Formats: sequence, structure tokens, C-alpha cells
Amino acid sequence: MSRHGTPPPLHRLRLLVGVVVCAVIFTFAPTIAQAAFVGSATATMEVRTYAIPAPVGITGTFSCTTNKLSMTVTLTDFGAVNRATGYTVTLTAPSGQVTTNNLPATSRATTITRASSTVGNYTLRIRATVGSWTGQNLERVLTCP
Amino acid sequence: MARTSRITLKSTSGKVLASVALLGVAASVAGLGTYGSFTSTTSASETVTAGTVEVKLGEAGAANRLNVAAAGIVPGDSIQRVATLTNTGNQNFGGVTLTTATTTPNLLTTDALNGLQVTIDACSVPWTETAIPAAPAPATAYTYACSGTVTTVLPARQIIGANVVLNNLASMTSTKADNLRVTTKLPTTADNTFQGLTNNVGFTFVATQRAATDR
Repeated sequence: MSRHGTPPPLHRLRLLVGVVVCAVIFTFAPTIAQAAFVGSATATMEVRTYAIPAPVGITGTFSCTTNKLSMTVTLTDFGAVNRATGYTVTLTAPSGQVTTNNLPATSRATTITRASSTVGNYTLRIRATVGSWTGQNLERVLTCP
Repeated sequence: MARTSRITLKSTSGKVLASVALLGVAASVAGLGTYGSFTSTTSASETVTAGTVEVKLGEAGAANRLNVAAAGIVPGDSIQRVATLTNTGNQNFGGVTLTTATTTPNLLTTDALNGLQVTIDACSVPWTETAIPAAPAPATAYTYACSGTVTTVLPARQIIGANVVLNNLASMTSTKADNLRVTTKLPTTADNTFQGLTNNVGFTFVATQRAATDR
């Protein structure tokens, strides 16, 4: 048998263990060498963004034409929303057409009219805006008397 | 006539005998050297005390408002909170970093551009605090003014970050403190999807030791 033949399994195992041990040492030695004293202090801050609520309460009246193909809603007031920069009032006809009135934050009174091609229920919606954010709708379904 | 034999150094037996004798002599001398030497000892002691690297935030209250929740935030709002950062160890710092993290990531912390942004500056004297009642009650908003010199510790960046280096800290020196103001802002570009979100952001200040020197 040649001296340069395949090493016996035990020799190979020893060689493998040696290589692994060396690899571990060379891997972690720099970490150990860089160990340093550290101190730390922590505090936690909670941040909650605004969820714009719907206005609460509406005061006003509404009326329809005799053929019930148009409704006019007159709002005299509705609940103010904190931090609102404006309000959007919409009246949606039974046929789906929508009329929109945009109000500044300082005004919560308006008159809005919407014609319809069909007879049915009208939907009044009021929501606040805060900058680019829009809030939840206050919704009322109105039926011509 | 009787035959006689002589052992000489030229014979094998003579060489062996001589070697044994030589080894015996050497071993004897070595033994004498080992057990016969004079000894003398002296001692000295040296006390080595490890330095301490400690950083502390002020106690909750006027010295640390970071734990005061900020509610009802809308785009463009800023949240100002102060905290005192003190080097309470007996060693100077080599550096101080800030790691900000959350366990409940959402748009506020994952949107690097439109999410929360943080800035930290320091005042050479304690900040003058103004507390304002804020909605929803009993929330309080704080604003701060500096009658001394303001320096930037951390320029504006997204709120979440790891091992962010802080600059211009007086607390790099042992026993010194910094009057920090942490300003968190929600950009005006944050859209409607940012409404009604909540996040807890942990601010961890980590100080590392100064560079090693000969002592």
C-alpha cells in the first residue's frame, strides 16, 4: 500500500475537527478582541394619530318639489369636529347624482339642492376634513314627504 | 600461565562504562544545582479598578418627557419631548448611539418618507417648558424654548434606526449631561391611511467606552 494513499477515517476525522476548531477561533477571536464597556438607557414614546370622527347632530330642514325630483336641504348647524379645517356636505339623489358643498371650518350652515331623474330616497352626508385627511361621514337618509 | 584481560576505553565495554559514569556525574551535579540554590523573594501589590461606563436618562417628569404619549396627531404636527442624558460613569464615552425600534410596526414607522421623522437637539441650559392642554383630554402638549445655545444632536431622519451616531454631546465627558429635545414630526405628505394609527417607539441611548490608553 502506498504511503500517499487515502488517510484512514480516524485521521480524516481528526483533521476535520482541527479545521473546525481553527475556524471557530478565527471567527470569534476578533469579536472578543473588540469587546468594550457599554451603558444604555431606554425610554418609550407612544404616538397616536388622529382618527377624524363624524360630526354629531344636525339641525336644519329639507323640502322637495312636488314631483319629488329635487330636494333642498337647509343646514343651520351640526356638531363641530375637533381640529377640522373644513367640512364637506354632499346630497346624493336616488339616481346617484351628487351635489357637494365645501365649507370652511368656521361655517357649519349651508343650503344644498340636488335634482334627480328618479323618485326615491336622498342621502345627506357630512364629514370633516383635517388637511388632506377626511373623516367619517354623518349620514341621513331623507324621504320626500 | 594464567590469562588476564583488561578493560580499556577502546573496547565496547569500556565505552559503556564511561558513558554510565559520565551520566551519573551529570545527574548528581544537576541535582545539587536544583536543591542547593539560594532563593530570595519580594512582592508588591497593585490595585486595578475597572472604570464604569454608564448613561442615564432623567427620571420621568420635567427631566424626561419621552414617556408622555402624544395623541391626536395629524399631518404637520410636531411632538416635542425633553430628556436629560447624563454620563453617570467615571469614564468618558467614546461615542453615543441611538437605536429606535418598535415591536408593532405600521405605516408610522415603516414609511421612511411619509412616516414619523425625528430630530434631536440640545440646549446648553435646561429647556424652558410650556405645557398646553391638548385634545383628547387630559393630553398635554409641550413646547420648549432655549435661552442658551442650541446644537444639533441628530438631524431629521426617519424615526426607526439602529446605532445612529449622535453628535455634539456634552455627556461624552464623565459626569456631564445633555439637555435633549426630541422632536417627532408627522410629515404633511402623510395621507389618509395614516389615520387612527398607534405606535410605541423605544429610544435606546447606548454609550461605549472611550478609546483604551496606557495607565
